[in-house]
Amino acid sequence: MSEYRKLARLAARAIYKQTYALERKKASQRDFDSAKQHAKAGGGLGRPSSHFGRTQQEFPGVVEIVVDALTRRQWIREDDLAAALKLNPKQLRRVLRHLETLRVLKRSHVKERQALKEQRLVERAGMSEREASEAVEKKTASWCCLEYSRIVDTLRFGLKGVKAELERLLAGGTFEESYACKNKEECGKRFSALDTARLFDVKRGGFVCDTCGTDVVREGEENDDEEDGNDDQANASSGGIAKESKQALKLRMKKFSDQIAGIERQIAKCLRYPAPSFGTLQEYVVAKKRSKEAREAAAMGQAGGQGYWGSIGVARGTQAFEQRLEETTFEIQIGGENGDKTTNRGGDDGQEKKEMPEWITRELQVDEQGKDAKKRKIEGADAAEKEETTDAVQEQYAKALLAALQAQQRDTTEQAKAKVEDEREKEEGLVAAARQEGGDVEMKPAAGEKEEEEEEEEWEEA
Amino acid sequence: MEGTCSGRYGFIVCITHIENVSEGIITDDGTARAKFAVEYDCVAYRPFKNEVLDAVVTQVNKFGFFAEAGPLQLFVSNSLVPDDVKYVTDENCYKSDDGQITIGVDCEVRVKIVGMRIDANDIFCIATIKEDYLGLIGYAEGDAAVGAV
Repeated sequence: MSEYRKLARLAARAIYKQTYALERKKASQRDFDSAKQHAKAGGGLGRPSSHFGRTQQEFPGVVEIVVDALTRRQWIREDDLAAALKLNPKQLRRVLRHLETLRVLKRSHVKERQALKEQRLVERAGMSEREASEAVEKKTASWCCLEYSRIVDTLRFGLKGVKAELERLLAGGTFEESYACKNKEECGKRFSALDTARLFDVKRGGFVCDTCGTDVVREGEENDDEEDGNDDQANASSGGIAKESKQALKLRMKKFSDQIAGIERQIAKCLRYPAPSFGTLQEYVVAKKRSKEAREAAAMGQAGGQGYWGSIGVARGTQAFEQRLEETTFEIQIGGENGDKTTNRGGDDGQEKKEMPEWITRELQVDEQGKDAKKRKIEGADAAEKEETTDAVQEQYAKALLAALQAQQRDTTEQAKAKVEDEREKEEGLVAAARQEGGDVEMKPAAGEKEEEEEEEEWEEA
Repeated sequence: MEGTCSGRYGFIVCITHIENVSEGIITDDGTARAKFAVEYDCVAYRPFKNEVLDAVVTQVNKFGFFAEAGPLQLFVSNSLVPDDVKYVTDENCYKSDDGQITIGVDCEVRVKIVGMRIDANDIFCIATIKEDYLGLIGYAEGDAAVGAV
C-alpha cells in the first residue's frame, strides 16, 4: 500500500471519525431542540422533524469504511460506492459531504444518460434511439475521489494549528484577561482586557468601574486582597486552579503529541513521494477511455498486425493517465528466488531446490534423495565418477544408492533399538542373552515399520 | 477627515488627493449647512492581528501599560509581559530582575498585536511583549544616558 493511502486510513481513524461523530452529535442536538420548540408551539403530534431520531443511531465507524473503500478506488460514482459498501446512499452522502468539508475528497456532479430506461423505451414504445434519449431526462450522478495532496496539506495545517494553540495556552499567553468590579454586592461588573482603555483612571492610577466608580481588580486576585485568610477555597481558587490547569495542559499536550506521532511519521514519509492525483472527473474519464483504446489497439497489434495506433503502442493522452494514476509494483515470486523449479526437472545446475509436494515431483525426489545422500558422503568415493555419467546412469545410481541407504538405515535403527533394549535389561536385572533373542524377534516387525516411517521422513526432507 | 477613524478602513492619517467633489445638498435641519460627497485618496492605517509595531509607552500601572503607535492605542497587560519583568510600585515602571530592562512612561517598545476591538470610530488593541525580539527598544529622551549605562 502506498504511503498516501496509509495516511488517509490513519487520518480516518484518528481524526475524521471523531469529527464526524461530533458533527452528528451536534446535528442530533439541533434536531432535538427544534423538536422541543415544535412541541412547545403546539404541534406535538407525530414526529416534528423528519430527521429527528435518525442522527443518534449513526455509526461513526462508517467514516473509516468509506475512506478505506475510497483508497482502493479512484473516481467512483457515489451510488456504486454505496452499493459496494451496502450502505444507504443517503448515509453515504452525509459522510461524503462531511469529508468534502474537511477537504479530504473532491466531488463532481454530472448529468448522465439513463441507458436502461432509454433501452426500455426503444423496446416497448418502438421509439428510435435518438427519440428515446430525448424523451428520458438525464439524471445527475455524483462522483467522488480522494484528494491525497490536500489530505496531507490539511492534516499538516490542522496539526500545526492545534500544536501552536496548545503551546500558547501552555505558555500562559491568554490575552483575554478579565477584570471585575470590587463592589460585588451592588455592581460586580466584569470587563475584558479590551475595555481597559475606558477603565483607566489617571487620578488613581488604576482601573475604575465605569458604572459605580469602585476599583477594578483582575479576576482571581480578588481573594488575595481579602485579609480573611480563612477561606481555603478562595485561596485555592486562582493560583491553585491556574497551576492545575497548566499541569492538565501539559498532560494534554503530551497526550496529543503521543497520539499524533504516528500521523506525523506517516506525513513525513508521504512528503518524500509525489501525491497520487486522479485529475478532474472529465480528465479521468477521457484518459481512461484513451487508455482502454490503446490497450485494445496494442492487443490487436499483438494478435496480427500493427493495430489502430500502429507501432507507437501508446495512444496520445494515455501517458498522462498512467502518470496520474499511482504506480503500483508487484513482486510475484513463483518457485522461490530461482523461479519455478518444476520446469527444471532433471537439470543439475547446482542450485538449491525448492521444497515441493510429493505428488508433483515423485521422480524428482528420488534424484534429490540420491544427491543429498551423496552430499552426506555416505559413499564419497563414487561421487566423482557418478557426476560424469549421463542422466540415465544417475537414475540407476540413485536407485542403488537409495537401496543401500535404506539397508544402512535399517541396520542403524536395529542397532539403536538393541542398544535401548540392552539398557532396559540392565536396569531390570534380567539375563542379557535371553532378552537379546526376544528383543530381536520383537524388534523385527517394529524395525520394518520404522524403516518406512524414516523413509518417508527423508523424502519430505528432500 | 484627517484624524478620524472608521471601522472599515482604520485611521485616516492624511488625505493626499481629492478626486471629485459632488454638488452640495443643503441639509433640512435648519442649520443652512450643505453636504458634499467627496472622493479622495488618503493614507490610512488599520492594524491587524499578529502585526508587530513600535509604540511609545504612555501610562503604566500595576495591571500593565498603555502605549501608542501613532493614532492607535494599545494595552499590554501584566500577563503579556515576560515573567522576569515585574511592576515596581515606587518607580511606577516595569523592571527586569537583572535590572537591565526598565519600561516606564515614554519608553519605546516593540509589541505584537494579539487582540483587537474595532468600534465605529475607534480601534483599541491588546498587545504582547512576551515573545522573541519584542520589548524595550529605546528609552525616553531624558533617560537615554541611563539606558546607555
